[in-house]
Amino acid sequence: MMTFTFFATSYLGIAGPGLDLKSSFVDSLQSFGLSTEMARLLWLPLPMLLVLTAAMVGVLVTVWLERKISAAAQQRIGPEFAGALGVLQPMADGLKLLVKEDVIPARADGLLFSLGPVLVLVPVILSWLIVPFGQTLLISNVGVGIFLWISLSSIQPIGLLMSGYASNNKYSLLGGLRAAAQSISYEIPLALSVLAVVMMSNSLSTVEIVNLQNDAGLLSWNVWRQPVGFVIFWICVLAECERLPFDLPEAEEELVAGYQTEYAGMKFALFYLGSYINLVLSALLVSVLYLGGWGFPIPVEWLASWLSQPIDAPLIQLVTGSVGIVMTVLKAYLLVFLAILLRWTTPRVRIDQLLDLGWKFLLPISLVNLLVTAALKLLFPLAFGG
Amino acid sequence: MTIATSTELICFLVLSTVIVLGSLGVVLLENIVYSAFMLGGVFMAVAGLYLLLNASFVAAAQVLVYVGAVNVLIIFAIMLVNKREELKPIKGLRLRRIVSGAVCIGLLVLLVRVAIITPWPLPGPIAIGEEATARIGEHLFTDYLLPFELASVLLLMAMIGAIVLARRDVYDSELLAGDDMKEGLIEQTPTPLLVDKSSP
Amino acid sequence: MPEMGALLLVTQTSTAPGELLNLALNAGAVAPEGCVLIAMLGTLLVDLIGEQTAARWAPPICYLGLGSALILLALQWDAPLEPSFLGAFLADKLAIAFRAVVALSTLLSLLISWRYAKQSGSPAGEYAAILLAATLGAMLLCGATDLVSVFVSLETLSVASYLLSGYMKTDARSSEAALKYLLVGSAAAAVFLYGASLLYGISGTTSLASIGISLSNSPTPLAALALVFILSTVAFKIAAVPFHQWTPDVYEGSPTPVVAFLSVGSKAAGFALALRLLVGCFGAFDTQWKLLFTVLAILSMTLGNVVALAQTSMKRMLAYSSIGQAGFVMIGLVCGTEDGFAAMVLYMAAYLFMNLGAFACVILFSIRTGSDRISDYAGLYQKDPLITLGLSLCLLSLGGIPPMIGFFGKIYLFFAGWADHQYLLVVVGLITSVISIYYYISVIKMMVVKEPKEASEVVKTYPPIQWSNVGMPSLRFALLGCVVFTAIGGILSNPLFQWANNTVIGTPLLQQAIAMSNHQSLG
Repeated sequence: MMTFTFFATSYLGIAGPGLDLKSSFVDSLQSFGLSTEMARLLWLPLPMLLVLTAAMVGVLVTVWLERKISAAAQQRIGPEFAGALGVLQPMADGLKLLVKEDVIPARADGLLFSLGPVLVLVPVILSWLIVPFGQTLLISNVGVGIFLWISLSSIQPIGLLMSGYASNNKYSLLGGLRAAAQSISYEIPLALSVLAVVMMSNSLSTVEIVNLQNDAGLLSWNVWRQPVGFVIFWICVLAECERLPFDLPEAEEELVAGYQTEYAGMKFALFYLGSYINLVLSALLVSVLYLGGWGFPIPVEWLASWLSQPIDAPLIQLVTGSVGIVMTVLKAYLLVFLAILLRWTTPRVRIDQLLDLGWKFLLPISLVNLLVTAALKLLFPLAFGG
Repeated sequence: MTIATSTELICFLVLSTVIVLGSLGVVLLENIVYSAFMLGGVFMAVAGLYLLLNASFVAAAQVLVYVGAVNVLIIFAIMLVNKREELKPIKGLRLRRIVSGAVCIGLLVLLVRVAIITPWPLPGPIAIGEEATARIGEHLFTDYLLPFELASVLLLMAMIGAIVLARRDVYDSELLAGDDMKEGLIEQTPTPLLVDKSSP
Repeated sequence: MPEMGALLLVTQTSTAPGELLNLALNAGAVAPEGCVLIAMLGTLLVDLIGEQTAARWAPPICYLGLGSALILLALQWDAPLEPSFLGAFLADKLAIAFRAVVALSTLLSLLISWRYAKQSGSPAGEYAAILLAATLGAMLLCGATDLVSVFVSLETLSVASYLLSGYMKTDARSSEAALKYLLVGSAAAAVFLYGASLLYGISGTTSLASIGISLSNSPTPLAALALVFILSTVAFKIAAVPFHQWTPDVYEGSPTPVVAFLSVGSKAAGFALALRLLVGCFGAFDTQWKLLFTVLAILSMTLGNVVALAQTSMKRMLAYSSIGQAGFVMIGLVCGTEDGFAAMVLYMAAYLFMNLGAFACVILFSIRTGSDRISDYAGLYQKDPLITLGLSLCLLSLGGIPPMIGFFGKIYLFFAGWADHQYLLVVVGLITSVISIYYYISVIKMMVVKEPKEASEVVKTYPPIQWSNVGMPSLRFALLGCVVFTAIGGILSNPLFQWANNTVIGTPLLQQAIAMSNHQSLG
């Protein structure tokens, strides 16, 4: 897995016009007398660290939000002692998990037991490679873009099956099997709805997909052109993240805690992290695919021309960049808020209902959606990216 | 040797080692679950090799199809039927192992020798990198159109056949009163045509 | 199968992609396959409505699709030859002839299978659809001129065959047959892919013609290795010894109509593939593959016919006899002369009728009695003269007794072999033919000579003959058609000779090979 990251970044780095952090970093190191190659090598870990940090901060915020919103939904106050409004509560949780004893059950398979959570977490973190926060603000503008995310997220079920099997516990095994079945079933409609977007954008690259939605601000977002795809994608993403109403793999009433039953300490924390990173990532991708990514509802170019400012002035560049980041995060957290709200307002579905929904309903509809998109693209090439 | 080429070489060596050892593990390990997980590792390492060849689309497709679908299904199947069963000892197992090992080694020697003495047309075509996705699409809809379309028939038929073989037939006699079962799903009771009369 | 991915990725044609888009596909060449495909989809659709509707409408849809495919094939006969799908498919006369054999074998197998399906309680609609998919794969395999289309059509045929052989899922032997076939077949497919990837690595193209040119320019040891890999797959498909081990078990366990298709349609496609790959692609390794095929042919003829002697089950006997028959056809392939190829085509056509006729009789007997043991046939002529007569004629023809069509096919093969100085092959062929006549005749003797009191239990309790049941008229039609053709086809064999010769003359691929071998023998 590490070689994967290494190559994705080393070959493709941050590229394009505008802010080019990599070249400025390399230039500044070269002025200290380092060779170009050494400078590039030193640059390599930085984006990875950045991703890790961003993902962690995202998780901390989400956990805090989840606790606070859940409390509000149940008319409680929620965490309030650790920091102002309890903002430090997630940190305290993390610290607790970090120092807890790491228990491996006696008859469990130690190797697979430890490897499982890692396999769940790593692909999710790797997928952050392709999330753009601005025209050039992403780790790597890989050509296969969104396809990389789909293929990486398909590794996760292996980790779940692995930990379910290695725990040597029937609840764990059942949870792992459920998780894998659910993940496989919902991956297909998910990929098909992504395909419809890709067909309109003529590219797999996330940057291209966002660029095509920012001609006319709010009106040109994909959600208007792909309403069905948007709903399907959102449902599938919830299922992939095992969020309610699709949290069958860890349904407490039936399976104790599913594949996490036997886990404690840091290994449990890895699952916990994985599921929240995945939620934030999914929300980010929904905003990228359907809600115009970093785009402001009114295009920044229009605002600049109304204020009669040149678009490539350094100040405007800076404002555009920060607006982009803020917009992406804002949209993503709105979706996270929606997911948390759904958690407290919908009941859990049964496993057969879940599979029926996936195979008999979402799959045909997403196929029809794809066909209709293709037809519309041929009929109205202007509106559907001909 | 620059840093780029040496890292490439190191990555190649690491990936190849993973593939070779992993494949041996898949074949030789006694625990079938370990074999299945190792197979996943081998598939990932192969995807890594594709990345080294600058073929990111093929690498992603490899991960999606082989790790995400094929390997998960294999593990799934193993977990569903994982029954601990004492296998009957096979007669002359040691001899069989030696023979099959010798055949495999002979084949390996042959392949290596042929690979060494063949004059390869080097260097091969230049990798087209990011353009590959578009190029694959063009090929699928021009000179590989026929196999591409036929593959859809193949998949359709395989899917239908798998359902036919795997579905649980419902017979009249098994229906309990009050079950809401559609009429069309009830099978007629099968009668094997050729009765095996050789063993009374 | 990582090779596939690499194969696709690195493929680069010299023409710009934009130009490719403007080229004519010439898709009319696969119109017969289109008919089969439409029939398959139609069968699936009526199957969705319900079991009864499927049983009623699936047969006419299949007949219509296969019949129109045959008519379209006949119309293609004189059409000008142009590669279609940018070189993925070529509808030359060889392809047309073998596709006709495949389509006809499917049609006949379907005619004899409705009653069988009905009686064994297996759904007929899906069965017909899968069989049509296998036909589609086999037909495309006959004309495929590109490694990728060869592989995909080969897989379509194989996967459909695995499914068909496991179709009687209540019968453990059927499931066993399917599993064995699947495992061995997948291994063969993997070996083929390995060979194909080597070929692609050497030549940088997937088109068979270009690979042939590249191999003749630089015949490397690697190409010889690829030849061995590809040849083993072809040998697996035509069930040549020593790649035959799957045949008896699969033939015994599978539903009998499926065996009928596998022994004729699938084998014909295998021979077409052999011609395309070996003659078209490995011209530079002419002596090598001919030597290998000589060995395969001798082994097949000997082992197939000798082991058939000891069989007690009719299906197993026919399985081993089909291995021996494939050995005879290989004589024509090894010759590589005009007569050799023509004899191959002729014998495949003759084999289609006599083998399917024999299978129709075996199926009819098993429908009426539920047995396929040879000893149960004792004294059958008293109770059921039609089966006795039909089976006798077909078996005599398979053995090569004079007035039947099989005799002419076989004599033409031996003649071609003798003319090309393949004395060893011809002598082995003659000896094994005599052996085969022995076991064919012993079945006939069992049916005809036994006195009524010596008849088997099964025959003593033989049910009254009825033709009014569902699916019986079509079975009778197919049986009579095959038997009549087998019997009088020999007398009318002249047009068949003409047809076979025209096939070879009208196929540029074979003409080139013949010209080359003539040139070599002169030089």
